[in-house]
Amino acid sequence: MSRLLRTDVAWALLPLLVASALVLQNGGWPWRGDWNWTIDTIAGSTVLTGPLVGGLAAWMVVRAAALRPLTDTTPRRAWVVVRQAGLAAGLGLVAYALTALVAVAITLAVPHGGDAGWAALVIGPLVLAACAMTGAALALHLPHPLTALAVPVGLFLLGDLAPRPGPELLRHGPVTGSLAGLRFDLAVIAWHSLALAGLTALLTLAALPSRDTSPLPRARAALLVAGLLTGGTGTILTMSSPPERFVITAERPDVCAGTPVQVCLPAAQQRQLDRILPGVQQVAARLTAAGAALPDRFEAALPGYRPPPEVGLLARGISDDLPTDPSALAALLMRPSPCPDYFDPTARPGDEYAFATELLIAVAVATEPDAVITGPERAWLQQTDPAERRSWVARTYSALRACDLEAVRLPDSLRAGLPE
Amino acid sequence: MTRDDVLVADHLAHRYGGHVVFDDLSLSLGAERVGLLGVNGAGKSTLLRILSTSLVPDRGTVRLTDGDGSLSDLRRRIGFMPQALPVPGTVRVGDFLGYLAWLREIPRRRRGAAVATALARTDLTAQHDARVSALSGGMFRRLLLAQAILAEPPVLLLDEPTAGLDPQQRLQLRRILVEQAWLRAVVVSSHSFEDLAPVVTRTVVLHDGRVVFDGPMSELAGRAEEHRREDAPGSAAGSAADDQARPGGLSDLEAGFLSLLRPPGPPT
Repeated sequence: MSRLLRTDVAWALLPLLVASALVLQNGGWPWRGDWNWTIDTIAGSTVLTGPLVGGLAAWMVVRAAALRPLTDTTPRRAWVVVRQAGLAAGLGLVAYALTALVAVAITLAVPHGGDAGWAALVIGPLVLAACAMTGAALALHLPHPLTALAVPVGLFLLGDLAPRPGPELLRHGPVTGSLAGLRFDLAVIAWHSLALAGLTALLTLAALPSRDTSPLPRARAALLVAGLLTGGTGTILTMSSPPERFVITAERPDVCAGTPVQVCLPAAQQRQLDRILPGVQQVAARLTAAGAALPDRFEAALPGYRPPPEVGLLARGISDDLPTDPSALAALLMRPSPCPDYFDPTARPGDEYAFATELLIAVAVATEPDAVITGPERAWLQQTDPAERRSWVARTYSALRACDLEAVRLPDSLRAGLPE
Repeated sequence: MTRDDVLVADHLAHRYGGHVVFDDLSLSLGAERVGLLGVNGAGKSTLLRILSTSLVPDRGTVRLTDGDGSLSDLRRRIGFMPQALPVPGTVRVGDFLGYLAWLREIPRRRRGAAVATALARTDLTAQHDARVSALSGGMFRRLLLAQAILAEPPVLLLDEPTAGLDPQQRLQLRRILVEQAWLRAVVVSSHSFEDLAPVVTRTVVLHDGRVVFDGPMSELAGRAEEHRREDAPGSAAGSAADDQARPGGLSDLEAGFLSLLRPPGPPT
């Protein structure tokens, strides 16, 4: 690699690393410790670094255009633009590698696990190469400094607004939620890789000077054939595949802790276990004391797994971090076992179910020092006969567990407040 | 050196906008050092750019007589020093030459040595790590020369190479042009007869897109009398000063050159 533009490395790496750091910062959410999520976050750093690399390549080509009276007299003149793109992509790759190192180090430093689809990392360099060649090819034909500004904006918007397969190819992650129970669909990754490689080949062709191409009609032909074949095949296969790049696995929540209420999460989410276990056990103990017959074990639901009826369902949306505050933890334990009544989107449980659940949560957190319970629930908790209250808690929780949602009723004293 | 052809330009035609620079210019360059002379706008730089392949002529061809006819081959064997070049000021001298070494297909393992040799030949060794913005005008000219000789090309095209050089550096340039065994053919464009005279073995004068003189410098000097006769007081040519009688007047070469630029007179 020539050293001409190496003087640019120091400053060009900086924005790339800042962009990568922004992605790694994960919007302020805790790091997950989930390998596939880590891999997706690394690959997803190109959502920002790709457009930046495109702009950098454009800037380098615009700058190198000033030397054309000289470079045009050299045998490698045709490769000047490709070289600038390669250098920009190379810088992006350095940032990508550093991002990967940091992300892997963080994941190793926390409780981690789950499937690791390392092959999905190949998509990042391909996105960088495609973005770099896009910037370089555009700057070759529009050698103006504004091109270097327009390219990153355009590439970012293309990844956001373009029709399929634009966003799929340019926006590989990062997802914000857990990828537990999912793995990369390597076929989809392969189709995307083919499409990106073909696109890069065709853009390389566009970055070769159209006139007086002493280097290599053969290289041009090879690029054209390779670009059309791989790009065409990849695009067709991408378009005929589902837009999701993950498939459901048979992963089970087999990392368990605690007793008597045992909590089981998938290995990918095991970092959450230490966070939620004390709170879950505390809330479970209160509910038990209030009369609820809790199952001995709660398991996380996964895209490919629902706990059996005798096991408690510990579930929120798979994308959410598991909460730690008592009310939210109590809500976690209120979820009915898997049953059509609850999961049928056309017949969601009614208001009474929701209010009854709220009342159960109030029972679970009533003794919390900072619990704020007002209104009729407060009155019911304070004035109801303990035996009657215990009976309602036992009956309601059992109905929830049995998924008999029709049987989930508010106490009579509170039903009057229900909307018609 | 022999006059065996090395570089041949056939029937070149080129125009900028509506201005015709050449209409049908042919020139053969042998294993020799050729001085290219002409007034501003005569087409010297355009010709050098076409010969160096950085400019594609509207018509005509440039070829090496012992080449394979490809542009790549031509570019491998020609070194070109442009009159000016906007090299980014932040680039370091060694990096710039390293880049040019890549462009000129110097193998990676030889690039460092090639850069060092070129810098030594142009007396820029101490500037290897300097930024281009820190070079004086003369140093920058030498840097452009250094990149031209980097790959030791058999054909060297230099556009105004002596501009901004001090006498010692001009002497150094002459040595490079005369003493390097790898150099077969040199074309030097210059306004300075003084610089060209000790170096070139053949002089080509361009005027209005045509070759109006092609021969040794001595022959050009021999035409001085013609200019002085026509420019003498009372002649039809007007009242030009008597160059010989005036301090700072024209040399024989300059006078001979000026005689070429006169429009053809009426037949006598």
